[in-house]
Amino acid sequence: MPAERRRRIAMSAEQLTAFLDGSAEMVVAYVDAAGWPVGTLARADRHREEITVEFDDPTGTAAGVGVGDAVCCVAEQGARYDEIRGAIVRGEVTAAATADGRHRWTVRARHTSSFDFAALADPPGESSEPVSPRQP
Amino acid sequence: MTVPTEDAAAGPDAELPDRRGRDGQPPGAGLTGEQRRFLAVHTRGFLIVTGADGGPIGYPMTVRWCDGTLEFNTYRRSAKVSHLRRDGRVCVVVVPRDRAADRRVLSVWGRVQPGEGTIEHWMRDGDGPEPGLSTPPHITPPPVTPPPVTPPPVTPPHVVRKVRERLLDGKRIIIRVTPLTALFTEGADDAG
Repeated sequence: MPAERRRRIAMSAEQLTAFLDGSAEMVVAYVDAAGWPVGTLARADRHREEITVEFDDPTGTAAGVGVGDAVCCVAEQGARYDEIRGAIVRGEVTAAATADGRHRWTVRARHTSSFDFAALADPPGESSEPVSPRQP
Repeated sequence: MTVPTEDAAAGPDAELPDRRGRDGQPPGAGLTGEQRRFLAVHTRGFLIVTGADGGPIGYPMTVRWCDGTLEFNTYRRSAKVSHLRRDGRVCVVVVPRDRAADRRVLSVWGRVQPGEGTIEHWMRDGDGPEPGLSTPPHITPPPVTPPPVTPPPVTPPHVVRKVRERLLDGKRIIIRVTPLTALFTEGADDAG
């Protein structure tokens, strides 16, 4: 997607903050020791530039992730097409704990991108590029 | 259950020998019937790939279960295509849109198939509210108790039209993932 188009559907800083603050669930992703990407749904809580995620890991691979490792947190919400919004937060683990098989990571955001499909609700002009549903 | 490792020795650029996957198994053979039924009715996915820096990147995507593979469409020149050409190992997390109706979450691990998928399944209108884009084309017969399904958001016609145009002119492509294994979880709801 052209960069200009991507910018056009991005949330404003204020919208993004409100969206992330209201995202109680996010998909948390990491790369395991063998190089496979792993993702699961996690409870999420954002505070300033950090997100705390909490999740069970039946694969047993999350134990290999520690402080300083790269992770990605993805939030997406919306029942109607023009309500769909999302954010992709790439960052690193700054704190990790495990209790009763449940992992709790604090993630410091390094780079965040977002999208808001409200910008696509109306038919665009001829020069606009298309965007697939739910695809930033 | 662990994340698949049988392909790790072959390296990230290794390709499946053919569309039928390893050991002569048909695509999707590593999944249970319940997992296949789940994929046939839920299209809200999160594609997890490995970026150039070795870190994970997740993309919300509409995914479709077609002939034993997971399909999605994207721009040919998108970053995710570059990532997948470098390392075809993916995890797709499928999350029902109505979490209250179905609390299960399915993580699917697989490899991107060589070449491009056919646009056939993405060009025809389906019976659902989202013509041709997220309505699963092949619904496996439901189990005794049909899973609750929330219809996907209705995509505006002008978006549907544009996506189809881009598929036809080759700016967008269909990417197919051969599932190797999958695992249900209950997601985040059981947090204490």
